Amino acid sequence: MYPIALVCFGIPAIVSLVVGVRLLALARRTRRFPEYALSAALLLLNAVGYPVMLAAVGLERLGQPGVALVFFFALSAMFAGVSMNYFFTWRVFRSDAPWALALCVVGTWLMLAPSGAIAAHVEMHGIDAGIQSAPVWCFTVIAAVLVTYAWTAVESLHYYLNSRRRLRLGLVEAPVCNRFFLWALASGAWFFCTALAAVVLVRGLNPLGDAFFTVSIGAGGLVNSVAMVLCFMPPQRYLAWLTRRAAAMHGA
Amino acid sequence: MAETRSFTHVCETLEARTGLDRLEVRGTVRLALKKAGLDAATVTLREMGVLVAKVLPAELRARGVDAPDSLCSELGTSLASLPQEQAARETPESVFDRLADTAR
Repeated sequence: MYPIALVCFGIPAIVSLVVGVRLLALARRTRRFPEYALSAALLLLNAVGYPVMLAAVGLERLGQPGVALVFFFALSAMFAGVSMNYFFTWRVFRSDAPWALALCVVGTWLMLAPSGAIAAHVEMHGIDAGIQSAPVWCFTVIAAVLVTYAWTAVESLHYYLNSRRRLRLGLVEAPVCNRFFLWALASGAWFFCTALAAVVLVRGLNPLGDAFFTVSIGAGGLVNSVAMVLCFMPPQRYLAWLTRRAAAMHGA
Repeated sequence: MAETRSFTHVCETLEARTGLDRLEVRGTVRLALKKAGLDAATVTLREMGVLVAKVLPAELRARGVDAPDSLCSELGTSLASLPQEQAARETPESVFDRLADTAR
């Protein structure tokens, strides 16, 4: 099961890392908030959060001290990354809506504040038992993560549907219109994977020992990876195909 | 909700040139905007120009307005003479257009 799990978790992590680095390079040129936020979201989660989390697990397996502290840093990095997803969605889709900014602040608070409590449980009981012994904190965090991915997916899907109408009038380019769909799909896949993690938590399963979980999250991760690549690193042939298809459908 | 100058201009012109009252005109233009995936608060001059040329004539015809094509043609010309509005904010399209462009 472990090799399959490595592929299932590894591919999305590598894709997010590559896309995150490319977006960071773009952000350094443009100095715009959306690319900074999105690159931070991807890199804090995949380049910082996951490796540090693995380090915490490794420390525990080796019986070394400092597990809870490293675990806390991993959680903080991951949730800081997810909070950047909140702010990206606010800035891109709802920058003039006070409720959206409030949602970002509350969502960030609900992710970061429980991290200390969960780390305290890990300090007392170890990683697996510590997480199991802090269900309220864990579900608070998971709910906040689910909300951001659901919100992002809904906003992007809504924009995609509007863009399709604009596409018919030649007011938007086909690849840009398609990008809203891909971003909704990627966010939906993240939502699916997070919801699966919640199920695992409820049932007290070992995520790496459960075939259904591993394959399901692998499928979600694969969908997310394909959508991310086509959205942010689209091959020229794909762009040309989108443009040809739009021209054929709308006579543009 | 705030409305752009182009939206206000189109509505005021239609109100003066057709038998439709203020509410009917605004409803008609808002419906046309919705069909085009646009919004009265964010529609740009260019977008309104396309709307007036491609969507609005059918909407006006459906409401019994006489000679909607020539009316919309005149509306398009008058829209072109309006000063460009300052971009209120970055649009999602411009952001998503930029995010895939890593060669710039």
